[in-house]
Amino acid sequence: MALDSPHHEVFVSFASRDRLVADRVAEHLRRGGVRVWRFVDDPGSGSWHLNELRALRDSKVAVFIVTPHSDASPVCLDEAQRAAAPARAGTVPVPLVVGAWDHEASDLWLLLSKWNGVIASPDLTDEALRRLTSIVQDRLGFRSVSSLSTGQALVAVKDDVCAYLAAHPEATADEILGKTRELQVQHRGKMVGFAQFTFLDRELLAAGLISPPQRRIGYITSYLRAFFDQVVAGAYTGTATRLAGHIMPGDTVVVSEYSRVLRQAFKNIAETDHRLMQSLRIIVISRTGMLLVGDEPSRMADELARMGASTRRVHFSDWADYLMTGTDTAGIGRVDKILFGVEAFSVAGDVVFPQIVKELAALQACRAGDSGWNAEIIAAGESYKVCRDPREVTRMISDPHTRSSPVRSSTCW
Amino acid sequence: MLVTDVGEFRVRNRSHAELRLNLGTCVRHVEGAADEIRAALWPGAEPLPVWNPPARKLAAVKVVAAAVEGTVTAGGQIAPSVLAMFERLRDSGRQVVLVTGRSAGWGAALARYLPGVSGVVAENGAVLIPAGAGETAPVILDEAILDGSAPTAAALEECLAAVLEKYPDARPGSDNYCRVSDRTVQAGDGIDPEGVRRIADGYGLTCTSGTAHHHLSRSSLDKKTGLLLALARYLSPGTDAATQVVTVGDAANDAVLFEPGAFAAAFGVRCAVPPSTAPGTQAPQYMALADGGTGFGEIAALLLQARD
Repeated sequence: MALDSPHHEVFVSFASRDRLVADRVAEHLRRGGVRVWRFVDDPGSGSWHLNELRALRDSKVAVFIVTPHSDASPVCLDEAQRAAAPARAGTVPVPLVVGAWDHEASDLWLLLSKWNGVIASPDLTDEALRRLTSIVQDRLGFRSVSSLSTGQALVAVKDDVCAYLAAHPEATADEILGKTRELQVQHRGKMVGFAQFTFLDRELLAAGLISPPQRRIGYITSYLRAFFDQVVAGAYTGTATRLAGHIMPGDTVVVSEYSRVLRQAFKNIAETDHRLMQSLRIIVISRTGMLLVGDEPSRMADELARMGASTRRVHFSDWADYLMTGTDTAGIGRVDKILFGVEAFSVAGDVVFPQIVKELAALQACRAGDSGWNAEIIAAGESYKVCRDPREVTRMISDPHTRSSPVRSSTCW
Repeated sequence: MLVTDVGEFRVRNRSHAELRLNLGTCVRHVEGAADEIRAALWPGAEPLPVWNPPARKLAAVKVVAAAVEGTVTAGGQIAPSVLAMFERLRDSGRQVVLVTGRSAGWGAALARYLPGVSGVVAENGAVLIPAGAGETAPVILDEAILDGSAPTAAALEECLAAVLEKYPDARPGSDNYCRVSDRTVQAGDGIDPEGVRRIADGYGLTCTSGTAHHHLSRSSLDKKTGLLLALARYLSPGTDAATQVVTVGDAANDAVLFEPGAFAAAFGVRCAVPPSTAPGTQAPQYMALADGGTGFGEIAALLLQARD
């Protein structure tokens, strides 16, 4: 195989027997303006598999066509393992399940299910291709919501819900909640329920007291707009202000999951106490997943450096080694604070991302095994990100790699 | 540690195997913000949902005064869950007072047998049956009846006879035999409420008409004034109704219990008649999302939560 262009953005992984499916996927992506690595019959010079691995490495997004054929393919499995590896920083996998079969039992799904993708069952329809293209475009930054924080993604969903309400003045509460679920998947994937963050479910219940339906819809629309103006819009600055108060001169701070709150906290420090900012040593953990796409960790490090801090990037694998074995090949040294920006919490403090849950578990183990470990673990998030229904968070922290009961992070605080 | 816009949360005791945070403060903060938004945006003249009274207002409540039919009942019965709520309210230091247009005899039975109830104001405010009073006579709340300035019992019987004569299809209320201050006539299509009122006026009696009965009464008290007298003199002297008493009703004949400013909060259960369907009728400030006893349960739960 040969590369169509050195500037391709998307790699498509497939089994040879799924070539027709892959052709359709690639064609649809191209029509959507996406540059796809072109697979041709003639492998050209060198090993085709090496070329393929280079293409995978250089892609921002890798679409994996998950079928019984690819599940049985050692090459496809190898590519998926490389893309899903925690240390991998460059490529975001997007699974595309095709066909009516027990994909949940497949090894490929085991590797890839935590990334947002498309299940095209029983057939690969145009709608499925459209959704896939939309996800890929989001990941590539085609649309502004692709790398939004939770709060910003919620705003995008809210705006679309309000437009839906304007067009459907007779919509029932169930229809409205169904639409919000659909929109949040479209904008952001499997995030915690929009209604949990906004109390929309509770408000729809209350709005049942209002008649006729048009007045009810008008009220819900105005409620959502006011909620975002008054609760969502400014909450991150309040959180950031409190968070900034915990950073001390000379701290070595590990930023494990960047967020708008963390960025604002460091901006606060830089603007109000530049000497404090200059005294900080900030280690940005380099990894991808959920919201982190492509070179975001390096952009974070650059941004923090411009604010005055001494920064460096450390690969997640080195960080994991440091946590789990005490090996410090990356020269991390003493750590004073470890910061997480978190998407959502349960009332009991569980957080949603499997990656963070695992990291917290490792940190807790460090604490238990080494009394000399004194780093403070600080998770930051706005109060509206605490879900009333613990099932919402439990559903999100189910670890697709273990396929067992939900991982708990509760012992880490 | 977890840092949020409303505070920092950390586990203090690290010796437990399972360390949990309690982020209920965050949920309550956002709920409170949602309640404020709702209060500002809710369509005018519509009762707000049951969650809207401030918790501090509910925490100050000492007396819960509730109508009976359709308010604490469902399908004509009081569910065990409602009885349990009466007891929990009592155990939380609050009094439960039932206010009804039913007869003193019915009121005596309710007061004697229902757990958690402090007393029953019956016959639309004219009499009180305190719980634990055994088989003693009901307390007459209307001083005009006691001092003889009210119309006589004989006038009441004559008025009833006059109504029955004027409306041959009318039937006297089935519980008149255990009424002290009033008599009832069953409501029906052929009976003009205004005609009944004019007859009652002729005997110096008051007349109130509901969906089931026309009440002819020697007393000028109503559910609100009777309740306030019962509380001030017998059940809870010193209680400030405007800040420490909440009322719960379900229908237009409970409208006096919904009077703005008279009580700390006035609740309706879901079927409470909104002003749009009963012009001129006072609506409650807050509305439960469910009917009858289930709706009462929502309100009671909020009161108990506010105390917690």
